[in-house]
Parts: sequence; C-alpha cells; structure tokens
Amino acid sequence: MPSVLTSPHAALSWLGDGSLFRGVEVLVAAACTLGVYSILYRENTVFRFFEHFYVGLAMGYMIFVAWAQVLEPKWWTPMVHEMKWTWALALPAGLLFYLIYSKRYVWMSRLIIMTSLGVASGMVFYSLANAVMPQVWAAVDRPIWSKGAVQVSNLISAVTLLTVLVYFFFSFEQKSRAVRGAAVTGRWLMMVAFGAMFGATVMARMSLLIGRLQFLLGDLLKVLPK
Amino acid sequence: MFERLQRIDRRAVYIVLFLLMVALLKWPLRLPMVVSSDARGFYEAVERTDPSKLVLVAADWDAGTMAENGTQTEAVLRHLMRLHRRFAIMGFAWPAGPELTDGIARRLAPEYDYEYGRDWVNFGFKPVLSISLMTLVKDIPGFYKKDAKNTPVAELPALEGVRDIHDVSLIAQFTSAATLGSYIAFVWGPFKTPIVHGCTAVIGPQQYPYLDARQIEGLLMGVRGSAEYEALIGRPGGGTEMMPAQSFAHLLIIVLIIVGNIGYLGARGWRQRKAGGAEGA
Amino acid sequence: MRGWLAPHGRGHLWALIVGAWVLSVGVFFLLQVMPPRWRRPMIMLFTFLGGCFYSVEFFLPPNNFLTSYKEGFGNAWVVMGSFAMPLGVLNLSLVHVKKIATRSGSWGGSIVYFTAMAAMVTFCFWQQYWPKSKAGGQGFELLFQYAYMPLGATMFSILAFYIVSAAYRAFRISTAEAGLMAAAAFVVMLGQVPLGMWLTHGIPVESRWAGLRVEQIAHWILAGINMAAVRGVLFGAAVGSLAMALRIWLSLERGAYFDQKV
Repeated sequence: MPSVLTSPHAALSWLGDGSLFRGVEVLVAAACTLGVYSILYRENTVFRFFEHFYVGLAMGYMIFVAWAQVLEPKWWTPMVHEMKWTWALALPAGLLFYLIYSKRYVWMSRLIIMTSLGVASGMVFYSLANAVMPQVWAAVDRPIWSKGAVQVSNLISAVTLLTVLVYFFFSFEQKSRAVRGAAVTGRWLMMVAFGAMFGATVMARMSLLIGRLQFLLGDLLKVLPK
Repeated sequence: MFERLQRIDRRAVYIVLFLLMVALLKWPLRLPMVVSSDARGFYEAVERTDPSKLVLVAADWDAGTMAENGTQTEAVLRHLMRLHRRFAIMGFAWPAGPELTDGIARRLAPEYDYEYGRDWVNFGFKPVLSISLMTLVKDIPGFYKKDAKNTPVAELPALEGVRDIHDVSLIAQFTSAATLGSYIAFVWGPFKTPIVHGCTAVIGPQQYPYLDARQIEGLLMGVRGSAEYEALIGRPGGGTEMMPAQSFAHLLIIVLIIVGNIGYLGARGWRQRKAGGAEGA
Repeated sequence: MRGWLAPHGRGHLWALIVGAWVLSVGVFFLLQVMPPRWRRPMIMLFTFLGGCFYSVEFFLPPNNFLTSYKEGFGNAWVVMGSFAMPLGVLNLSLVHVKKIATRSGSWGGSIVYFTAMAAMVTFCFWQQYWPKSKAGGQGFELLFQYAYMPLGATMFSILAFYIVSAAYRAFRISTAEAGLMAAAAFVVMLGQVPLGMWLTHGIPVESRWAGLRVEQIAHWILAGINMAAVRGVLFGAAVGSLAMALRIWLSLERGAYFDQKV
C-alpha cells in the first residue's frame, strides 16, 4: 500500500509538495472549505464551528490592523516619538464612540458620531463636482446626428437616460400620456439593464465556486493538469 | 409533467453543477477568447505608465472575492513587474485586502527579480476612504509614514522621489464594493490621475458610466476581465483556467431557466385549458 | 509651540499627554453637568462645524486658508475612524460573552470565536513585532492564508449554488418585461464566456455584420442601454445624496436615531 495512505508524515509531505508544514496548511484550508460546504446538505455543528472560527479570525485581524496599520503609525508614533503631544486629545475624542454602551452618557457619543456625519456630509460637493458633473457632460456629449446620419446607439442611450429619469421622477403625479409613456419605456429599458446585471451576477457567483473547486482539485487532490 | 419540470430537487441541481464544474476543470474545453475594448483600455493604460513614477495598487477587496479580484490583481501585477514599474499597495475598504495583494506580489516576485522595499511596498489598510484619499494626494509619505511592516517610508527605495499624487502615474483599483466614486471624486476630479478599475462582475455593470465618461481608462469585469488581461499579457493564469467551467456554468443556468419556464408556462397553459374546458361544459 | 507647551524630554512629554487626558476628563464632567437643554444645540453646532470644513474649503478659491489644514484635519479623522473600528468587534464580543455567561444557544461557538480571535491577534502581533521569529510567521501564514482566506472565499462561493437554485425556481417569464430581462441576461451571460463567443465566431471581426457577434451585442447592452440606465439612477442618487447630506449637515434629518432624546 502506498506510504501516502499509511503514513501521516508521508501524506502531509505529499500534500505539501515535499514540505510538511505546507501539507498541514493545505489540510487546514481543505478542512475549512469542506466544513463550510457542509451547509449545502443541511445545518450542522461543523458549519457552525467554522462560521464562528471565521468571524473570530476576521475580528482578530481587524483589531491588529486598527493598531498596527493605523493607530500606531498615525497616532502613537507622532504623539510619543515625534513629541506631538496634542494627539493625546484624539484618545478621549475616540473613546466617546464607546459611550453608546452607557445609558447615562450615550448623548456624548452623539457628539462624535454626528460630527463624523457632518464631516462626511461636507464632502458631498466634491463628489457632485468631480464625479457626477462629468457624467452630465458625457451624457450630452453623444451626438444623435453626426456625419449626415442618425447615430442609433447614441439615440438609444439618450432615450434610455431620459426615460429612466422620467420613471424615477416622483415629485408630481404623472398624469399626461406622454409622461406615462416615457416612464413605461424607461421601465422596459431598465429591464434590459437588470437582465445585464443578473447575467453579470451569475458570472460572479460561479467564478467564486470555480475558484474553490480549483483549490480542492488542484492543491488537495492534485488531479488538475498543470 | 410540467409540474415536475418545475420541481427538480435542488440537491440534484447542486450535484449536476458540481460534477459539471469538476469535469471541465479536469478536462478543460479551451475556446478562444475575444478581448474587449474595456480590458484593452486597462492594458494600454498600464503600458503608458511613466517608469519614473509610482503606480498605486488599491486593494479594496476581501478573501470572499479572491477568485475575481485575486486573479485580476495577479495578471496586472505580472504586467507591472514585467514593465519594471514601482508600485505601492494600499487599501481602504477591507482590512485584509492589502495583505492578500502583498501575498500575490511576494509569490510573483522571484519570477521577475522583484524585491520588497526596492521595487514595491505595502502601505496596508487605512479607514475612511474619502478622507484618506483627500489627505494622501497632498503628501503620500506624510500620510503613510510607515509601511505595513512598520518600516519608515524614508527607508524604502521604492518611494524615492515620491511626494504627492503628481508622482503617481496610475491608480489600479481592485474592488468588490462601490468605492470607485470616491477615487474619481477625490483623485481623478482634481488631479486627472489616470485610474483603471478591476471589479467583481456583480458591480461591473454599474461602472460603465465612468468608463463612458472617460473617468476610468479601462475596466476588468470579473473573471472574464482576468482572462482577457492574461490573454493580453500572453500569460494564461487563474482566469483563463476558469473560463471553460464558467462557460458551461452559464449554459447550465440558461438551460435550467428555460426548463423551469417550460414547466411554468406549460402548467399555466394546461390549467387555462382545463378551466376553459370546464366552463364550456 | 513655545514655552512649557513645547516638550523638553520624555518626562515633560508624558506630563503634557497625561495633562491633556486629565483635562479631557474635566471637560467630560463639565459636559455632564451642563443643562440638558444645551445638549442638542451643542450636537447641532458640532455637526455644522464638522461639515463646514470641507464644504467651505471647496467653495473658496483654490489654495485658500483652509487648504493647509486639510492634511491635519484628514489625519485626525482617519485616526477617529480607526478608534471606531473596534466598535463592531466589541459589540459582537459582548453578544458572545452573554451567550457564554448564560450557557445559551450555541455557546460553544462563542468559545470558538474568542479562541480564533485570540489566536489571530497573537500571531499577527508576533509576526509584526518579532519578524525574525519563524513560529510567528508560520502561525500567521497558517491562520491568514490557509484559514481566513479559504473560509472567506468558501462562504461567498456558496452563493453559486443558491443562485442556480434561485434562477431555476424563481425566474419565471410571466410578462413581456420579464422576457426582455431574460433575453438580455442570456445574451450577457453568453457574451462573457468563450462558449458564447464561439457561437458566432463565424462572423468575421472586420465584417459589417461584426456587430451581431454575441460578445458585441453583450458589450452594446452593457455599454449602451445598461450604462444609460445606471447613469439615470446615478443622477437620481446624486440628487438624493445632496439632499440627505444637507439635511444631516443642518441637523434637519428626522428618524429613529436623530430624534432620540438627549
């Protein structure tokens, strides 16, 4: 009988292409993958284990990143090593977020949360000017008549844009037949867009599955052609 | 019969899907791929990058979309390494994105004689996307101060001569979330820094307005984008390997939708005929 | 900074830092003894001032007096954002602590959660601050590349089975609009993959009929009709976001959180 089947050492070495630790890594990854896929049969304890395991790993990594990649270089180092002691005020301000857990002091958490929302709101003008206005220019920059002929694609795009805008216009009742007709046309054209989105979504979901199958068949079972 | 066509057991469907994918991964049916203008635009934007400037690789994706964003990132990093472009990895949407991208770079580095610190750096994750972008464009080393491994930026040769966004020739953003708008608002808008975008297919259709308005130079949509880019760089990889299975997965879904609707329309027609016959009687 | 506000040595630095924290505690108590009727106006004032910075800086001519403060202001809010990051972790952890304390439901899963979190934090910091340690590096690689990454990828890949099942059971072409949607979906699905491209590969790329190739039709749907429809939605969303931003900035927004008693 091949030693791969009888000796764990040989099996791990085979899995890891000669490296024992890499064999352990592949085995762990395979266990995680198959454990999560067990939900497809039915709800079970193995899936629950891996679910909690995943969330725990994600939370642990987030804690590490929050300190090592943000707070340490951008707050602690300037405060302690670059002598910029005013950064000390960031700690009490940041800790205000955690007062949401206190019934008595919860209103103070609103100070920092609402200030954050205010700061974010103040940036909307940048988005409008730099991201949305060029869209308006791009929309009108598609000539419907050019070189002595109707540009069908541009005409369809213009009609789609206008009818979709009419469809979503709820400020007044759509009474006239022209407006209702435009809204119905917009709905039909949006169906085409939604179909395209559905098609793209299918591609996305399938590729995620194929990616995992590549791992199981390639790295674990080693049956895929190189 | 029509009712049964609508009620095939979902586990049977899963098994058919699973077996089809396994078969096509094991015995791939390779068909030629036509490269779209969107992917070509991405490729040409990378080709046009200035060798003396930095390329920013924005890793705004997580492990869940490894198959799409991971394969796109690998193809583009290969291209950058082949062109000997310095690049810096950064991320603002998912904490794990920069580390996953750095893992891909480390795996490819020996093939192209790339060395961390000399040829590329990993800035790691920073929160608050919009504010981070607005701040780093003015002073990149000042914003980051250290890389993800705690090395001061002054000690990283890859960042020599890099001060602000004007020293960046391209931003290649890979994402699974709707983050492109912020890059366009706070980087492209004021500074017209070229941006190319690799995204999951789920959000792909929503990025076309930006492509049409030339706010992004190119677009890679899902694993199709990866396969197209691999064809352009002449190096088949994960994306290309997935396409045979992907093709038949789409075909299976189309067949299942048609089968389900034959059952639905057939049953509906049968019920209407039955009701009409009963009324007549 | 001048005089005693400029730190001379580490002792002075820490005195200033601790002094700032003590001052903050004082401000905290002052805020608490403040008359409650002042709280809402104070929150409204902070919200307004917070929004003022970037909006005023935007409307003033370029390189105005606020532009030089953008970097410091931005860095401060990035730090604020990272202080807020552990909020989610804390919230989830409190839920699991309660489960363990009351031995309710799947409290064993809660133990797994904390064990995984502790292991990840340990190995992350170990490999970060002791980079020469092989054990730290290997442990981090095992947990990140071979546990976290496969788990995340697999969780999302389950959706593939669900979308197949959902498409088969729920996609019913009961109206002409649904039929149009299905047709567009089929064309886009086929146009994205080599199998679909093969169906019309007989039409030469240079010919006048090249537009009938399935990948060309799919691209036209995506870059033509879909693009215009999404642009229309984008315009509506932009107007909505402007309205929402102004409502928040000027504290006009009402709702469950905004109407809470302070």
